[in-house]
Amino acid sequence: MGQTYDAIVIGSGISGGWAAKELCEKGLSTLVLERGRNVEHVKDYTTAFMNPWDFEHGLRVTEKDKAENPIQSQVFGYNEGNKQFFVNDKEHPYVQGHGAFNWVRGYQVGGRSLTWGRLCYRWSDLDFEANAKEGIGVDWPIRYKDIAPWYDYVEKFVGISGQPEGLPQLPDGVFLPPMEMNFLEKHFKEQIKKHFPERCVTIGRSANLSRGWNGRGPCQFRNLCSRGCPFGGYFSSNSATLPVALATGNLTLRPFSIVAEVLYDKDKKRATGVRIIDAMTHESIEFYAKVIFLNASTIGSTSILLQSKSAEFPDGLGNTNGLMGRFLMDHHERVGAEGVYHGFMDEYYSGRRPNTVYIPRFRNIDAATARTDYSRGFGYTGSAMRESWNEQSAVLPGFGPGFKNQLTSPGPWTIQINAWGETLPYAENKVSLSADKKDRWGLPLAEIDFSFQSNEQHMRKDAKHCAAEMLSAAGFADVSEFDYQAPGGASIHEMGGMRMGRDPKTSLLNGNNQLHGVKNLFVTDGSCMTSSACQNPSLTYMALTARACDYAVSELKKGNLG
Amino acid sequence: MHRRTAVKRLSLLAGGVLLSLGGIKYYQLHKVPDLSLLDKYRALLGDLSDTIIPASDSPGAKEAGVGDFVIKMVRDCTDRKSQNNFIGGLKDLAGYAQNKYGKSYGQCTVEERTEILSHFEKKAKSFSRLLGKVESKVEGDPFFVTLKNYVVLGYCTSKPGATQALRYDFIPGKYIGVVALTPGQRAWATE
Repeated sequence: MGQTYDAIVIGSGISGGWAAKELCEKGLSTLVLERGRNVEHVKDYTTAFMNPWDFEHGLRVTEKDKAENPIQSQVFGYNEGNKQFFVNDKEHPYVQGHGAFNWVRGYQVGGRSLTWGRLCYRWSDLDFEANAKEGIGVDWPIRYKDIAPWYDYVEKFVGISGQPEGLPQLPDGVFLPPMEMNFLEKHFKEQIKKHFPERCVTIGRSANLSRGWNGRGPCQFRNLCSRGCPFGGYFSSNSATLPVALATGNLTLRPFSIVAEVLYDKDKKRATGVRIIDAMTHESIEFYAKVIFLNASTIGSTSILLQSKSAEFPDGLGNTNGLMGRFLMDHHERVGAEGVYHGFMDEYYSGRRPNTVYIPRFRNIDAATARTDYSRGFGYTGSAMRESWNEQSAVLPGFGPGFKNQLTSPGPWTIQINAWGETLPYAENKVSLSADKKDRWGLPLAEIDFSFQSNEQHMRKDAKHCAAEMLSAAGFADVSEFDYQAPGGASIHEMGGMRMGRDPKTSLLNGNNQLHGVKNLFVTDGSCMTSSACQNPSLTYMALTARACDYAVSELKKGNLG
Repeated sequence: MHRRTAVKRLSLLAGGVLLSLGGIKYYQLHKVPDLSLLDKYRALLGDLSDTIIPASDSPGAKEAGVGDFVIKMVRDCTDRKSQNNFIGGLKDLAGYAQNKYGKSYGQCTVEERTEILSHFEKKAKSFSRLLGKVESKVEGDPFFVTLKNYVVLGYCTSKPGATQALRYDFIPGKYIGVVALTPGQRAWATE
C-alpha cells in the first residue's frame, strides 16, 4: 500500500531534514510531509545571482508588502531578495492573544533553514542544570554528556567554522577553520582581554563552510545566504540533509501536505499515522507508519498535537496534564551599545563575511559572576565595520561633488554589539488553538500569549550597561546604549510548548523526545525545549533529533515501538 | 541590509507618541496623493538627482537613471504622508526656481541649482529640529530627506554607481579581515 511507510517526518526544516536523513540512512522508508511548496536546491534560488540593480526597489520593502505582511516584513534583512522564503501573513493568519508575538515562518521545503542566521553554539551543563538548581520550571532529563556525542555527530556533517576557546559555559565543537576578524574587531578582542580577563571575544561559530565540506561549498563570502546559496556555502535542509536522504532511495517527499492530525490507536497506545489536507486540492488523505517524527516548528508541532483530539485525549494527543503549549520562550535581544572608533583609517577588509563576532556569556556562571538582580545570562553578537553609503547617507550633510566623494569613500569605523538573553519559562506564555477562528483549510488558528517579564528586563539593563562599558574601555567614542523592546518571536528563536522532562505529570516529552505515553511519536524541534539558554538553538535541535532517531530505530528493532 | 542600519531604522519606528494635528494640516498629510504628478516632474527629478550626485570620474545620478528610480520609490515604498510632502516639495521647488531666477530648475546654472537645493535642505533641517525623530514620523519625512535618501539608494545600487563610483565584487570568494587601504580607494558597494 502506497500510503504506508516505516516512518513519517512532519516538516522539512532544520530538524525535519535531520530526521529524514537519519531515518533514511538507517534503512527506513520515510515520508516527509511539508506543508509548503518544494524548493529545490540551486534551481529554486531564483534571486541568488541577482545584482543590486536587478531589483526593482533597491532591495527595499514596498508599502504594499508591509501592509500585506506586517509581521514577516519586520524581520531583520527581509527584502526583495529573500521574501519568497517567508509566508504571506494574509494567507497564514494567527491570533495574538495577551501580548504581541511575531510568528515568523517559511512554509516551503527547507523551512527556515534557508533563511536562518547559521550561528551554532553548544549548550553546557550550566544550561542543562539551571532549572533544577534554581527550582525554575522542570529539570532537563538530559545533561551535557548525553548530548555531547550528538553535537560531535551533527557538527561533523554540518560543517561549522569556529575558534576553540576552552570555555566551560560554551563548549568547543568540531570546527572547520575560523573566519577572520577585521582590524577593529581584533583590536576590540585584545582590549577586552586586557580590561575584562573573564570576558572573551571570539569569531562567530557559523554553519558557513570555510572550506569545501561533504561535497558542499565553500562559502563565497557574498553574504547573500538568505536567498539560498547556489554554492551550498551554508547548511540548509535543501543543500545538505535532504539530498543525502534522497540518495538512499528511502525518501518520499510530499510538499503541499498540511498535517491536520496525528492518528492514534487507543488499544496499542501508539500513533498509527497522520491525516493530511492537500494544500492545493483540499483533499483529506491518511498516511501510516511505525514511527512518527514531529518537526513542524515550535508552534506548528504544538498546534498539530493540540488538533489531534480523540476520546482518550480530548485536549490534544498526549496532553494529559494540560501543559501542552505552555512555557513558550523566545530569546530577547536588540539591547546593547554602539560606538565609533577614531583611527585605523588606513585599514579596510575585503569580502562580505556572513558571520559576526561573539562574546560568550560571562554572567551567573560561578560565584564570582553571580547576580542578585536576575538569573541566567546573555551573549553578544557584534561586528565592526567601516560605514558605507548605506549608513552614511543619513548623516552626511549636503550634496554635490564633495558629498559624492565622501559617500563613496570608506566611512568611519563603527562597532555594534547586541545581546541575546535567556528567557525563563513562564506558564502563561503559551500556544493554544483559537476557539472560533479557522484557516482556509478549516484548521483552527494558533493563538499565542506572550510577554517578557522582570528577569528579562533586569538582564537587559545589565546587558546594555556591560556593552557600553566594554566599548568605552576599548577606546570607542560616541558610545551609545540602545534597548529596542521587540515583541516575543522577533528573535525567531521561539521554543518550548512541549517541554522534555522526567515526570509525565509536569512535562510532555521524555529524555528521548518521546511523547509520554505514545512511545512511537517523537518531537524534536524547538517545542521540546525545557529552558532557552542564551545560545542560538538550532544546533541543539539538530543534535537532539539525531540522538532521538538513533534511539527510535534501535527501539523499533527491539520491537518496543510496535 | 546591515544589522546596524536595521536597528537604527527600528528606532524610528519605536515609540507611540502621537501629535494631534490641526484639521487642514491633517488633511494635507493624509489625502490620497496624485502620484501621476510625479511623471510631470521626471526631468526635474533627473536634474535634482544630478545636483546631489554629479558626474565626476564616474557617472552622475542622472546618467544612472536615478530620477526614474526616485519616482518608483516614492510610488511604491513611501508612506502617504511622505508622498504628500514629496509632491508638495517638488511643486514648491519648481515655483521657487521660477520666482527667484525666472526660469525652470533645468535651465538654472550649477550655482543656482545648488542655492535652490540648499534652501530646501535648510527647510528640512529646521523641520527635523523642530519636531525630532519620532514626531517627524508622524508628519512624514520632509521633501529633501526623501529625495536625498532615494537618490543615494538609487545611485549606489545602480550598475554605474556600484561598479564605477563604488567597488562591487559579485563573488568575493574569500574574506580578508585586514587589508591596507590604498589612496583614493572607493568603498565597497555592498555589505
